[in-house]
Amino acid sequence: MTSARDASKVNCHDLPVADFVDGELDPAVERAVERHLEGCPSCRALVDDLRTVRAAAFTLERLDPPPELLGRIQARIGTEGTGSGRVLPWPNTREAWAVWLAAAAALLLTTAIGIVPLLRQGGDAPQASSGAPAASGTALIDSVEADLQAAESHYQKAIVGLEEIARSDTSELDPQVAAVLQKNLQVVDLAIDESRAALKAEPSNAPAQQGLFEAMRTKVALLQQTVELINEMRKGNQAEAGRLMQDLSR
Amino acid sequence: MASSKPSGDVRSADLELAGRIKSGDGAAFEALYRQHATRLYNLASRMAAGGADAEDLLQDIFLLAYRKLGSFRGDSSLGTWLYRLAMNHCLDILRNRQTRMGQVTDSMDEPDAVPVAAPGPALGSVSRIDLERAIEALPPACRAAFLLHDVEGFGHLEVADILGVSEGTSKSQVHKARLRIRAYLGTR
Amino acid sequence: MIDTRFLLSLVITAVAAAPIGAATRHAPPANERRAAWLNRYAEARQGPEQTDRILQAIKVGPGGTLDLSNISGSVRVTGDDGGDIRIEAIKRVRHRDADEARRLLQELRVDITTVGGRVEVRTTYPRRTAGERGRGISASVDYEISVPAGAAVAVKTISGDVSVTRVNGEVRAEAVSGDVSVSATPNVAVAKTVSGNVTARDVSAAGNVSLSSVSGTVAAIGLKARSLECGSVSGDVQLSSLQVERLQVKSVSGNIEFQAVLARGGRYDLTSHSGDVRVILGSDTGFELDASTFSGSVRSDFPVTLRTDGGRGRGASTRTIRGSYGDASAILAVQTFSGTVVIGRK
Repeated sequence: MTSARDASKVNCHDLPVADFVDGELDPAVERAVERHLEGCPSCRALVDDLRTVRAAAFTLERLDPPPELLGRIQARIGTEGTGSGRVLPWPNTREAWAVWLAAAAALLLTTAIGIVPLLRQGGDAPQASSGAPAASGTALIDSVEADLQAAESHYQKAIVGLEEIARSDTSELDPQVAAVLQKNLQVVDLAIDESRAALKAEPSNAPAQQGLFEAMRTKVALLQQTVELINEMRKGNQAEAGRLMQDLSR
Repeated sequence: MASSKPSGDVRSADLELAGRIKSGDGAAFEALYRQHATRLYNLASRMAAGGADAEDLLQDIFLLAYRKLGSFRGDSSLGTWLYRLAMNHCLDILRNRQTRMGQVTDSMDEPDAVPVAAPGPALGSVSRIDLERAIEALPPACRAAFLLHDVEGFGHLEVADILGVSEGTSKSQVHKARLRIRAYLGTR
Repeated sequence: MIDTRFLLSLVITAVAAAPIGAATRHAPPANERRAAWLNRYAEARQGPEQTDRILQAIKVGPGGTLDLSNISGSVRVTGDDGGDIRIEAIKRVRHRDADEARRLLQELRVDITTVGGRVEVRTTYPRRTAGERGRGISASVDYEISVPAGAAVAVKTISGDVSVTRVNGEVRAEAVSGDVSVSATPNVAVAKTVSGNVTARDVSAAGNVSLSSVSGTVAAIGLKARSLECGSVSGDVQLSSLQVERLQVKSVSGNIEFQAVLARGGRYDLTSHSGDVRVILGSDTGFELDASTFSGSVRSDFPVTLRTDGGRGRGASTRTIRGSYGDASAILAVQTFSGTVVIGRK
């Protein structure tokens, strides 16, 4: 690709930044890039930053798997046929729910947190010094803004959906338990409202953003716990459930 | 670890190891584990950050590998095959989460308008907490390429082989990841 | 996935049945008086309490597994040197009509099944007559169980306290409306409740421990594990004498107090919305600190070398300390919205 170009003339738009940072350019092209960077502060800043990111990534913490993991894997391979891997198998449905919800909530949380700061950059970033193209961040920002809105609307959908389910059946929970869950949902709602208000005043504020998404995540988890409880109570009493099913069959 | 078709020697060594593991040779399995476990653990942990437990993921990966060894033909090296299996598993998990929440998933080959230069002052030193968070915020395909290339040190050819994409796609995904991370860090 | 056709379930129990008769470890006099009062009240309203006692011992050898699921009533499990799982279950029923009470007592079943070394205990509730529908049944079962020290234990109840002590196998203890406490259990996995406190004392685990409540306090005193996940929504979290490599603590309106020696290379995340977070460190392990609050304040007794903050998109009311102490080998990330953050020295 780059070798087809006239190596003596490289402008910002055509700069093979990625390959330059990776050190994978032909010497001639590389020199041309360096000459451009000498005279272009914004491209220089970009390249320096990308190199910084790359270097920091390479020196991230090395995690070690626990030493007994191999033994555990071998044990599981050994008992594959019998299907027993855990000491106490729990019903699948609850497990699936818990894992799904925690993962979904966590993913939304981290995605949202990662995305919101990018909006800020689009909003007030000053023009780079002469020579740099204008509004070069717009394309990235737009896609990110769409992601953010999608993330928030999915949180809301999850919350509304769970609320419906929880509300329709909390009358069947033990009234004390229902009251505790209700009260704590209010605590979380307050946190959501406070974070929203703060974000309205300061949209770029990181603790406010994190506060909001943390609170939303907690609300989803709490609603899901309520729903699980209702489900469990139904399951927990076979004799009664059997009778209830008779009653409910219309 | 070669990513193009393995030479005769490598291929037959890999096939032999695979064969020994399949027939229940514990030492052979242990050898495979010791060679790749740490790297896979780091990959899995950062791919699934905030969700599944890395230890469980690593177990699942090696179990999957054990079960699927029957289909290893030596077309790639055993290592590449293993990383490919691991990354696909992690990506499946991530994408399942996203699908259930109705989010648009990023496709590996989507064309992406990448800005040439973004405004703002240069980054100073990078905090590890921030970098880990920035990585967590990357979309799955992007995250996969970045972790393999910049964090674990695979070359673009190897990354392409593992992820089943072209070398060009690997380069653009890594570049996209670095830009997003830069943008994220720039506002901290 | 979840079944969205939610069948209506019975209202589980009158609260009076649960705590009464359950001998808790620290019952201050006020609770005893209140318990006695509730007893008299329940007797007046629902009739005298009829009880029945079940005793069963099952030989399981030094290991064995107990898997118990209760609805209303307390559960206490203790490990000992024997090779049996010994179960004492006290069924309690109240009803104004003595015959009805006897019927209910019979139908309130404790089902015990044994498969190999695994003992399953299930409480099953009696059928209600037509006239009863819509009102709570006053029925509960209190369990007092001893297991071989090496057993694994999984216990759930809905309304009642749970306590597990001196059990070396994997321990999972859950309640909905009740306190959960585990102590001297070197292999604890989960202790959780919704309305009630969680207490873990002198416990450890090779892997991850999960402690949680919704409205109660979560306390761990003397815990060693690879990682700990704990939290409450409106309750406080109190952690002391902790040795973990990874920690995640969350509360919404509760305070968090964390006293420990940080592990080199460990990662510690503490978050509260309106509560305060106090981290008291007892050693000189270096750490990278990221502490922030939206409208509260942050203070550190450790000299932290600040990173360049540079006014990057921060509002006037952000309070932040971001930097490193010592060799920055551990990561300490603390965050609140309106609370204060203190990083103090022991």
